[in-house]
This record gives sequence, C-alpha cells and structure tokens, in this order.
Amino acid sequence: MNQPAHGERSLGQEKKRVLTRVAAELTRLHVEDYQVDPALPDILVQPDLLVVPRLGSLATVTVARIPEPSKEWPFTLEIIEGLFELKLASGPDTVASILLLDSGNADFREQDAFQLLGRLFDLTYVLPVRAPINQIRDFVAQLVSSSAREGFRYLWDIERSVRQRNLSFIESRPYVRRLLDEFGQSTRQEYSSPSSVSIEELRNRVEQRLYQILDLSYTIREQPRILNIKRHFLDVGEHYYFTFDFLLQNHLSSIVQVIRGSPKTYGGQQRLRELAIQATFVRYRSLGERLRLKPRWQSLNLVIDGDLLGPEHSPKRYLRLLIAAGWNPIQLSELSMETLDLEGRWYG
Amino acid sequence: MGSNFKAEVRSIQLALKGSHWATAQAVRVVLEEYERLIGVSRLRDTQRRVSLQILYSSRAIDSLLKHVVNEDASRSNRRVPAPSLGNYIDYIEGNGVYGRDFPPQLIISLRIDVKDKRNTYLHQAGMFPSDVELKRFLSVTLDGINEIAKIPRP
Repeated sequence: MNQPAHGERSLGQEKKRVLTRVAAELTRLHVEDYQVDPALPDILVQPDLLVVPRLGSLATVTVARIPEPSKEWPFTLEIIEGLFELKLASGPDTVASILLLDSGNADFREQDAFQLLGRLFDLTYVLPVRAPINQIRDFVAQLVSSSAREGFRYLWDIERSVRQRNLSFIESRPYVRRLLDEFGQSTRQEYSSPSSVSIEELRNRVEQRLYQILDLSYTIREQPRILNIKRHFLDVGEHYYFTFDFLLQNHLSSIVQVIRGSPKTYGGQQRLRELAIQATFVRYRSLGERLRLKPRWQSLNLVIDGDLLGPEHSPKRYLRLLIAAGWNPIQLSELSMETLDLEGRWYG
Repeated sequence: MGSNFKAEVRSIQLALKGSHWATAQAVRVVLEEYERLIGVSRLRDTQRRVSLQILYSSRAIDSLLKHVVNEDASRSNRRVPAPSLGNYIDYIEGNGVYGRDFPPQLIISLRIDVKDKRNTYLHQAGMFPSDVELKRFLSVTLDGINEIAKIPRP
C-alpha cells in the first residue's frame, strides 16, 4: 500500500511489532484463543489476527497504515471491500476491527474516508508511532468487549445473497463459463499481456468498438457519474458519485469500465478490490435508516486489457471476486454484443 | 499437507470456538478430530496417512452436521432425518439451517467431493484418493464447517 519514506519502518515490520504486542496482551488476559496470520476461507486479503475472546465470540484485527492524502479514498474502498468479504466469510456476528497506524497524515482523521471506516467497522482505533503499552491495552480491552453492530446485520445478509446470485447468474453466461474454464486449466499460465497503449488510447479503442457493435437505439455517455451510498454512512449533505468510463443507454443502461494490467502488477490487486466495492456501492439506495437494493440497476461490464489470472492454487480468485461483486468480465479482444451484458439487474 | 493447510484448519477451529455452537459437545468432538488430523500429517506411510485424514475429517463434518440438523429439526418441528451424511446434506439443501440457505455450489461439493469420495475410500478395500482428491476433500469439509460456524445466532 504506502511506500515507507527513507528511514521509516516498513509496514510489514511495523505490523509485526504491533501484532506481537497485541498478542502478548491477549495472552496476559487469558483469552480463549487467538491466531496471528489466519487463513479463513473465501477471503482474498486476510485479517492479521483472529481472536476468540471467550467461547461463542469471534473478533478480527486488520492492521493498516494511514495513507498519504492522495490515496485516502482508494485505500478506504479497498479496506471496506475487505470488510465485506470478512463479514460474508466469517458471519455477521464477527467483530471486525481496524487498527490504523499513525503515519503523520493528521488530517485523515478529519476526512470522510476515516468517518466511513468508523461507521462500518465494529471498532476503529488509531495507534500512534511507538504507542505506550497502556494504549495497546486500551485497544485490546475494547476489542475483547466489543460486539458486532446490529444495525448492519441486514446489509451483510442482503449482500451475501446478492453475491451468491451474481455468481450463479453471471457464471451461467456461456462466455463467462468459457473464460472460467480457461482459467481453471492448469496448462494456461497467462491469459494475455496488456497492450502497450496508454489507458486513454485504450478507452478510445473501446469507444470506437462500442459504436461499431451497438445499434442506433443506444446512446454512449462518456465519464458518467453514478450515485453511490457513501453519504448514507456520513454526516454530510453532499452526494457521492463514482465516475466510470462509459454508460450505454437505451431503455436500460449499462456501465462499461476499462482496466489494464493484472493482479501481479503493483497496485493491481488493490484496483480490483476497489472495483468490487464500487459495484457494491452503486446497487443500493438510502431509504431512511436503512439501505435498500435498487429495484433495478445498471449491469456492469469490465473490459480487461491484460490478465486476471490468480496464483497457481487459485487461478480464478480475482475473476470470481469481480463476478460476485456484479461485474461481467470481458477480455478486450472479445468485446461484442454476445459478451456485453446489457440487461440490467432486478432484485425484488 | 503444507503449513497453509494447518493455518486453515486452525482458523476453522477458532471460527467454531467463536461461533454460537461453541459449547456443544459435537463442536468439542470436531476440534479434537482436527487435532488428530494435524497429528497424522507427518506419517510417512502415505496410505495410512491419507486414510486417517479422510477418516478424521469425515467424522468431523458428519458429527457437526448431525448436531446442526438435529437442532434445526427440533426447533422447527421437522422430522429428524435418519443418521447419514447424505441425509444431512439433503436436509440442509431442502431446509437450510435456521432459515439460512447454504450456497448451492457447496451442497454439490459436499455431495460429490466429500460424501461420494468418503464412500469410495472408507468403504472399499484397497482404494486410496489421489492428491488432488484428498486436497479437495479436506478443503470442502473445511468450507462446510466454516459455513456452519458463520451461521448467526437465531
């Protein structure tokens, strides 16, 4: 995530030091059990610590460094996608905490991004550099006595069924099945390398292709701003939007986003996780205290220049992440009426 | 069995201890079975090792599903199915647990990769799973146990 400045500890070292101190405190308190570096199923980025404070109670700790100002939103969205994965993989009763290591960006605590983390996580705690032991103790005391927010239980339930349905719906499309099958073949080492053109040139090519394949009933809007639900969690008057590459409109509308690269390149995995949470955040609307699924929302098409191949033991993991979140993945060379999803989504 | 598998087993053990089923006798049995499973991972006799791994993980999922299905059936006044792994899977497919459905893909995997394989390798003399089958077997049983562990309090 953040690159350490010269002379600073790397995030890995800093994490290890903090986790050792937290683990020592958990031992001192005689909690039921804990595990550093857990391996829960169906989670791409694992929490750093799994704790059973007492039988029948489960908590997790994710340690991250506060980002520099230009990276606050990408950082926050990626962390929130991790929270969604965690709640869906370990259940809504799990206490999800985030321990933010102070990086000198004092303004972050005044930002909406920080407030969003505070609203969604069950416990958010900022730890200064070289935190005294009483602060570690304070964090652990809060962790073992916290419970999961009741107010979001419905959201995890809805999202669980949506992601399950997305997987079965999108995977049933012949094109996506073929793509998944190809990813599952052990002989396939690489799907394809990204072309050398700039992302702007790539968007131009995709736009030209869209004009070729779509009939005149469609309007193609560039850089559409789509309302998201960040505001629901924040004490702000303004609306929040995500900007995508294209919106295809006739009686239904579909989003098209173009990406290049792969999960193996620097920042590649973070970008995919950011895309996953963006897809999630545009399918809800705020209705009083609660979020509701929009009765109908835009289908989401992701045009990929490059490959999404995961590690050898799990080659489909990134593809499934995006599909579960609602994206219809399309390899750039295969962009056509057959592969585009123009149908929209209904959940009643 | 690599260190990552051991970490996965340990995480599932914690997930069970942290679940609302934690105090049930069946959960204690499952935790013990997985201790045995880890214990046999260093056996050099491959056939003995894989047989015991199939045995311990089968008994773990069987015991847990029995407990969960019996509890759900008695809470909802449904008939408790006759004891067998296949019946427990059928029950969960039809009724869910506490009204919560299991992912359809997991039901299919429990049937094909666990129940059918267990019947083959525990009930037929001289049959042993391939590495891929064994990995899949162990991984799907863990997924099944995790799916139960994450069911929220009713």
